[in-house]
Formats: sequence, structure tokens, C-alpha cells
Amino acid sequence: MKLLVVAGALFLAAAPSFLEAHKPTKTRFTYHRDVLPIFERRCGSCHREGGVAPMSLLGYKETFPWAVSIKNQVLSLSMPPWFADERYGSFRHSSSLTASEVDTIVDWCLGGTPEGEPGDAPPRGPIESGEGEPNMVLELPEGFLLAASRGEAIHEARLDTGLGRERFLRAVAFHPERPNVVRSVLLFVVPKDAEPGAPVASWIAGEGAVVWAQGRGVRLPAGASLQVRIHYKKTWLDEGREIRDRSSVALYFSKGKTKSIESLVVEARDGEGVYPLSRDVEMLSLLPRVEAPLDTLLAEAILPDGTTRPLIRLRGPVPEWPRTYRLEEPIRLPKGSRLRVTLASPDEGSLRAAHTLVVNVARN
Amino acid sequence: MDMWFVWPALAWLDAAVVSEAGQIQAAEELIWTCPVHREETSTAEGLCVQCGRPLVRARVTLVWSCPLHALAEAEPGKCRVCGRDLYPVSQEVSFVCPMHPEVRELEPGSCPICRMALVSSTSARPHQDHNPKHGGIFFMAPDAWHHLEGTYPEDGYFRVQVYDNFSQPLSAKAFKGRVVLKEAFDPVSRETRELLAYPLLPSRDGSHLEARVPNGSLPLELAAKIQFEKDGPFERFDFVFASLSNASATDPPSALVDLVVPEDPEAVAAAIVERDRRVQELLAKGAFNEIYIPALEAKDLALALEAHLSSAADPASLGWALKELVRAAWLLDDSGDLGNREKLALAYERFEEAIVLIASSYGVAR
Repeated sequence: MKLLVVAGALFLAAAPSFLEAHKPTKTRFTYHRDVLPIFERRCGSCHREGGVAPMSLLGYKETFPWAVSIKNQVLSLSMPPWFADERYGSFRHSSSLTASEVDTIVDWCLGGTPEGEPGDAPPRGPIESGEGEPNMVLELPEGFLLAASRGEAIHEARLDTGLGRERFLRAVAFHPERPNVVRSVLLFVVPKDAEPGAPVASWIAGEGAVVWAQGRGVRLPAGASLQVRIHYKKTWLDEGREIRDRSSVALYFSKGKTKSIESLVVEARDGEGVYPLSRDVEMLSLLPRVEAPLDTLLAEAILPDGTTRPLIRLRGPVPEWPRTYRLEEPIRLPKGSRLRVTLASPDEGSLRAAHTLVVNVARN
Repeated sequence: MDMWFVWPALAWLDAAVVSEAGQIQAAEELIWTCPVHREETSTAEGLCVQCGRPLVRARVTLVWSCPLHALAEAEPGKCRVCGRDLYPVSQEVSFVCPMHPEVRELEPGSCPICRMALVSSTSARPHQDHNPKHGGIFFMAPDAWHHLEGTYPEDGYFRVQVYDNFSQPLSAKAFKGRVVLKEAFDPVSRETRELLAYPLLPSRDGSHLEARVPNGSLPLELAAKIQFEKDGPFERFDFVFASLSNASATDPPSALVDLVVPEDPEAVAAAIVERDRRVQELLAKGAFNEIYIPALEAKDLALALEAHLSSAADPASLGWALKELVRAAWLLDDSGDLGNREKLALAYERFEEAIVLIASSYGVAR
């Protein structure tokens, strides 16, 4: 009789410990205690209900079915979309994961995604306050309609400031009305009777206000208008749905003496681009605009004495996330220096696209 | 029925269950698992990732099994049937009534119906047994369902056995494949062309796929390309045979053990460099499915260095290296399971770049 019960795979007894015959299938991390705090810090501004991402990571039931995908995105450096290599420069507001954050997420994803006790979640910090009351809020003159049949669109709109005199912007904040579809925004200053030049600011979903360094600002001449270029993109949650958006831009003017910020544009064709500086500059931030996915983008300054100073290196940048990388400390470059951008990609077609690096500098 | 080799274990079974029940409880582990998808496990209550069912408790234990015979012994040793070395596998344990098969309990005790003492019963768990059965090299397919073992049992023959995720053999007649011995990379089209390949054909009894390969000198390097689903892709598995496969000499596989992390950051860096050396050896040997051990150990050591970041000469670079090493180690683990040399090489490139930086940060020779 007993034979019938135990025939086939047999028996057991005291064993030293549970052992992974091949690789770990369990984890010591739980969602509420270990993983959620990381997601709140690094991912939650987009991966929340109603956010631009197709799934929230701020609830266990919403998160765990995505474990394999989360692991792959984190290991391949695709998410979070912060492409700057910290060996080449340090930037503010980094959303790059630390080593232990990467490990906690991957280990949890591979180890059975345990939920743990909701009570273990550390208390949420206060929501970061903004820049106070804006001096001016400009709405899109007309709402933009993302038709039911369209998944994606670029929309440009001109916003009139009606400014009777020159002002300087110390900060600017984008307020998407429909954050689930507003991916990124580029902002241009258009002086009266002129065409827009290079973008003066960029914003991607999840970012806070754009705040320039103390005493530096973007000049708005009298009668200037602003142009916004908005990238709308639906996730599968909104497929087949008609969405009308009327986002707004909040402007904060600086008081007192302000150094004007200008945008220099380094164009890179066939993998390289050089821009000679005709005067001394103080470099504040870098906005790489890649038009096709690349392996790497490297920007360096070649000083008049021939020495090279790295400015930024991106790994695996993609066009979807035109992020501005703000230098932790401004870099001063003398007249006669050259800015050089070098691109790498196994695909020659990708290299030939019109990639640019927009460099925000303050006049010295 | 295979009862004849089950029988010798039984006498020992009776004694062990009764006298060591308490010990069993202490040594085993309770986990959560899906009632349907047993490969989904968790250390805490939750829902199945695949179907959303609430997870149920399960008791898991380590046993020692024979590559060929379905034995489960408490101690390492030799198979009592064929004398092969036993290897460790994880199995699910429950306590069942000999008279009432519907009674299945997590704890030992007596049957609520007839009060007979419950006896323990084990069953295999998916993905717990990635050990070769025929002395070959064992990999998992990218679908995480199929597994396969390549053997080079005699000069001129390469064989592939296909298994499911419980490591149960599947009929080879369901699969197509070929074995590639020589290929060339064309830098213009960026494609690899096969220069010398032989078909892998099912054996008459369906127990394996087989290809005749030219008699060659060892080590033999080849790639098996197997199609698991009709119209599916041909998945690639890279094999290196240092010697002929010997079905009777299966070394018990290595496994992760508790890692001792030195206090001193220089010693940690040296330990990381030592793990890198082992990863390199395993890569060179083609022992891809063992790479996860030194790779994940190096990762855990790197995590210990995170606490020393602020005192490093160049914290930004070291910080980069630590996170790069963590990512690369997980990628090595992943691609090692799959036996894919190209993915492993890409992962190792990242691993090595991180190691070089860590070694130089602490002045450790590589």
C-alpha cells in the first residue's frame, strides 16, 4: 500500500537547507518594504495611475504582472530613461538607479515578487513644492485633439506673452492637462517678427519645473512669444480613444540682475560634429536631441591648449526622451575652445540622421 | 513499473518519517506557490504572476537524486540502483494518508478520516532540476519551458535530449534542429553565415535528436539550433565538450553558498577580481550554466562596496562600476542559463569593464 503512495519520486528527510538547484527562485525583498520605496523615488512620477506610463508601479497588484518586463528594462538601461554615464560628468536630478536599487528590483522580479506587509512601506515623503506663484500662465491657445485613430502626434503652438518690456525667465513649469499622453515638450523663445531658433528648455514626463541656476535666465524680449513643441503619445490604455489636451506653461520671472542664457547648437552628421566657441562661456546644461537610437553620444570640450574635457556621455539614447541634463557645477570654457560631439552606432543610417546637441550657456 | 528500485529506499523511509519528523520540519522551508503554476514561488503571500490565483503554502526540501533514477535521498552519495553520483534538487513535500489520497497536509500528523499516521510524499518542482541526466551540458530555452541537454557520447555523434520545465524527457520527434560546426561573420551584411552544418534527426525511439559530425579532436565546439514550435525561431545553444560525455560520471553541480564578505574594501575588491577570474575560466571552458555562481557572488561583493563609495578616490566612477557590475552579473546569470555564447559575451564585456574599474580603484592587480 505504501508503495503506491511513494512510488515514483521518493523521499526526503532532514536536509541542510532549501537549495536552488539551478538559480535562486526566491528573494529576501518584499514589494512594500523594499521595492515600492524605490519605485516611488525613481519611477512613480510617470508610473502612477493617470501617468504617462502604461502601468502604475505604485500598487502591488498593478506591478507584479510586469516583473519580467521591469527586470529587462532595468538591466538594459532602458528605464529609467536617464542615459548619462556618471563617469563623464555629474548632473542634477539624476533618476539613475544605484547598484543596490538595481539589485533589489531585479532580485525581487526574479525571486517570486513577494508582496510583504503593506504596513512595512515607509511613510511617503511630502510632495516636492513647486516654485511658488508663477508670474504668468500661458495656456495652449486651442486644445489639441489627439484623434481616436492616432497613437502619436507632434503639436506646435505659439503662446503670446504680451510682454511690453524685456524679462528674464528664472524658471518654467509645464503643466500637462492630460499627463497620460504628454511625453515631452520643447520650448522656444520667438522674438517679435522672427522665427524660433534652438530650444531654450525641454521637459519630459515626470520632471519637475525647469529652474535655471541662480542669477541666470532666459531672455524674453518685449513682444516675444513662446513656441511649444509637444510630443503626444498614447499608451495601449488609451488606444482608440479621442483625447483633447490643453496644457499650460507657467513662467517665473527673475528679479534683479540676470545673465542671459543662450543656446548653442552642435550639429552632428555622420557621427561627428564640432562647434568653435567665439567667446568665453559658462556652460549650464546640455540637451542632446538624437533623431535615431544610438549606442553612445559623447560630447567633449577641446580647450585652446589641446586638452580634452568630457562634458557628457550618453549610453543608448533614444529620440523619445529629449532630456536636458543640468550640470551640477557650471563649466567655464574660454574662447577658442571647440565643442565636439561623437556618436557611435552599428547602424550607419542612424548615424546619418540630423542629431544635435543643444548647449545652454550663460554669457560671461 | 519501476518499483524494484523504489523498494530499497522504503525500509529507510519508514524509520525516517517517524523518528525524524521533528527534524524534517526544522530543516525544510515553507514557501508560497501557485496551485497551478508551481514554478511561481514566493516567500510571502500574494497572487500568481501568470494567472492571478492566490498563492498557497507549500513545503520545499532539498533531496539528493540520481540523474537517471527517480530517487530522493537525504544525503549525498551514490545511486543505490546504478551507482551514479547523486545531485541536489528541490522538491515539494506534503504529508499524505496512505489510505485517503485526498488528504494532503503541510505538516506531519494523522489522517483526519482514519487517524493513520501521515507519510511524506515529494513531488518534483519546475526549474529545480537543471542537472544533466546523461553526463552532458544542460540549458534552458528562451521560452523557459523547454530544456535540453547536449551530449557528445562517442566520437562522431552529437545528441540532444529535450525536457520540459520539470526536467521530464520529451519526445525528440516533436523538434527540428541542426548542428553548426563552422560559421563566418560577414561584416557587410552583419550576418553570420553557416559554413558547415549537419541535421539533427530524431532517433528511432524518439529519445533524442542526433547528428553525425566528423570525427574531430577535443575540445569540440558547436552550436545546436533547435526549433521548439512549428514556425518558431531556431534557438541557439553553444556547447563546448572538453571530453566525451560520460553518463556514469556526473559531478554534483556547484551551487551558491553563503558568501563571506571581507570587512576591508581592498579585500572585497580582491575577492571580486577572484570571482572574475572564475567567470573567465568558466567562459573559456564553455561551462556556461555555472557562470551564475561567481557572477552573482561578485555582485554581492560589489554591493558591499557601496557603503565605501564616499571614501573612494573617484566615487562617480566607482559608483558607475558597481551598478554596471550588478546589471552585468544578472545578465550573465540569464544568458548562462540559456547557453547563448553571444549574449554571454555581451554581458561579459560590461562585467569586465566594471571589474577593471573596481580593481584599479583599489589598486588590485587583475
